[in-house]
Amino acid sequence: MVERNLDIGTVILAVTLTVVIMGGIFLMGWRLSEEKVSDLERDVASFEVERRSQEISRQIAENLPEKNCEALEFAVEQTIIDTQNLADRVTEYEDSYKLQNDNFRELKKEYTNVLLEYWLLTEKVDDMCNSSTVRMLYFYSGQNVCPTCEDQGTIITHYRKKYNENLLVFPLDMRLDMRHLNILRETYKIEDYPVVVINGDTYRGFMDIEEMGEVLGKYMNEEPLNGTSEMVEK
Amino acid sequence: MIFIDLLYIFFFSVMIFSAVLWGIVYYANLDKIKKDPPVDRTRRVTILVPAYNEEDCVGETIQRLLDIDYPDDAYNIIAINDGSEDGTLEILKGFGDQIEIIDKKNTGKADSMNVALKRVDTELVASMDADSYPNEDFLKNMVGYFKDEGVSGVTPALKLMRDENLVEKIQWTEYIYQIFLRKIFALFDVQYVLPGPGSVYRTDFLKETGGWSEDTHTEDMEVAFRMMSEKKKIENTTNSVVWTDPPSTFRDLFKQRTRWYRGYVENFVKYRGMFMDRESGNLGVFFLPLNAIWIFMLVFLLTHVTYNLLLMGYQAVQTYMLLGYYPIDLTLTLQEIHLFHLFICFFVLVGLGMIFLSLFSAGEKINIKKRWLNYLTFFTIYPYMFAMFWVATFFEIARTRGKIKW
Repeated sequence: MVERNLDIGTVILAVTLTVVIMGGIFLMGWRLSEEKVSDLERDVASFEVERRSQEISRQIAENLPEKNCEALEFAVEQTIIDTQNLADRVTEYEDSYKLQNDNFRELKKEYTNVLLEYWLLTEKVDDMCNSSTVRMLYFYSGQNVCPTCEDQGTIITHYRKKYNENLLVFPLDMRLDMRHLNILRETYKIEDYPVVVINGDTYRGFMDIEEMGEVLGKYMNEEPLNGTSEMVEK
Repeated sequence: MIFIDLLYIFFFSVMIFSAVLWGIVYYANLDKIKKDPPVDRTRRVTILVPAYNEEDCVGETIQRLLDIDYPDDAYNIIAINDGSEDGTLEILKGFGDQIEIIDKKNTGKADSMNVALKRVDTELVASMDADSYPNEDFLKNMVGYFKDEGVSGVTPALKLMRDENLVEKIQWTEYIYQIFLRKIFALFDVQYVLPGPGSVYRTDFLKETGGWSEDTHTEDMEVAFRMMSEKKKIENTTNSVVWTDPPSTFRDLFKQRTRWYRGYVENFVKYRGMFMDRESGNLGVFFLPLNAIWIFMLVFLLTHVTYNLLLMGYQAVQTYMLLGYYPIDLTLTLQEIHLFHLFICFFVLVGLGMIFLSLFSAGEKINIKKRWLNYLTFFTIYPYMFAMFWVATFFEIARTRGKIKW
């Protein structure tokens, strides 16, 4: 017969080290999350600087005797690529979301602000230069409210990559409680999602790849196909 | 953080705790890993070799046992022909009076061993499956442990005879890892199995407690649980190597493992009194609960990971149907890395560390060039198989309502 003792000391040491290691990994995770948000913040800040530069360029161009629309449109096109990259990174952050980071919520609001300011700017540039950039406002919500939004996003991404700088997509997360989003919601009478507004025309409900291709084709000066007119509301 | 993430965090902490615990035990007993107690005196041993239709391997097993480095007059061999229908008996008879033979009807391994146990008059008794054989210094490294009167069993280090096909390669690393774990378990006093190939027992213990149990799927596990419940110690040596014949097909491996795991459940139920029992020491209070969590965890992870893989497949098909192609993006950006990736990196490091310690304990070299597939399959396929065997075991228990029928 042997007297069995519990190795409580060993187990307590193991628990302590486990807590230390878990704490260390969580700390690294938190630092990683902070770094990711900081990275996005830098991108948003840089994007904001770019937008302001363009706004100033537009104002200068507007006040010049001869408008230099070519240079202005070129600058807008360059920023489009930055917009899309930023949108991708914001989505990647949301997909990898594990730790609560309050800064990200604020950052996303800031990102939405910058995005809408940029949308307004492109409208003004178009009016001023009589150009025809295709601008799409994409209103979406979470999976429980909008089960088809994820698929719609996939299709929009497909066309965004296809048309590059010829198509400007402004994805707007309607879960954010922001005053101007509410104004847009009322303006475009949005009750269900997804909704896309292309150059002022509203398209409600999910569009598959062919339907969206036909709709976008019209704005891209391609030969329009049949079957989408009933979706348009001026 | 959603519930499933919290569950994963809990599982991660269990994994880290287990690794840390074994690491501490290993580090605290560094001098004992490869060192066995010296032989204080020659102890007489009887080696039992039960055989049922083992004509292909029993001859080599007996010859290897005859060749071990131990005084000839201090050990003897009893081979039990358990009603074989092939040439097993003839092969055994070929060894003449070098071994004792018991020829009986087929009644199973446990009964065969019990029949032979009645003839044993030595201090120690060893079991050796007919498809396994030991190294020459097999007994010399083990008998020294019996100087401690509390020790009633000693387990050897098991290695595979071959690792040629994929099923064998998967098991090769597992067996090497088990050598490390078995030593750690012995040092932490939580060994719960005395493997059929090569374990040595104190004869008195077996005779006094009824020999090998015939009402379980794993008599070698039952005797270990019994030893622990009878307040006896089970030691281990990493220096006595027994080479065993592994299942070579997935089907055979499946049958073997579901039998083992079912045996574990049977013995867990039979000795449930040890669960959380302070008198049962580390086994009852720490190890059995931890093992139960591990089994649940692996089954859950198998289910959840399979669900996620199916979901990914479904989404891939859905994307293909939406777009007419599947966009492939192999880039990894900073924004895609998250907390769980850090845990995975940590586990890869721990896993590699464990394998390194296992190879050291087993006296093996890394030999990446030859064994890269052994390691790769152990980290990828093995956990799935392990969990799958457990799921199958639970289904089988539910189907037969716990009756011992296979």
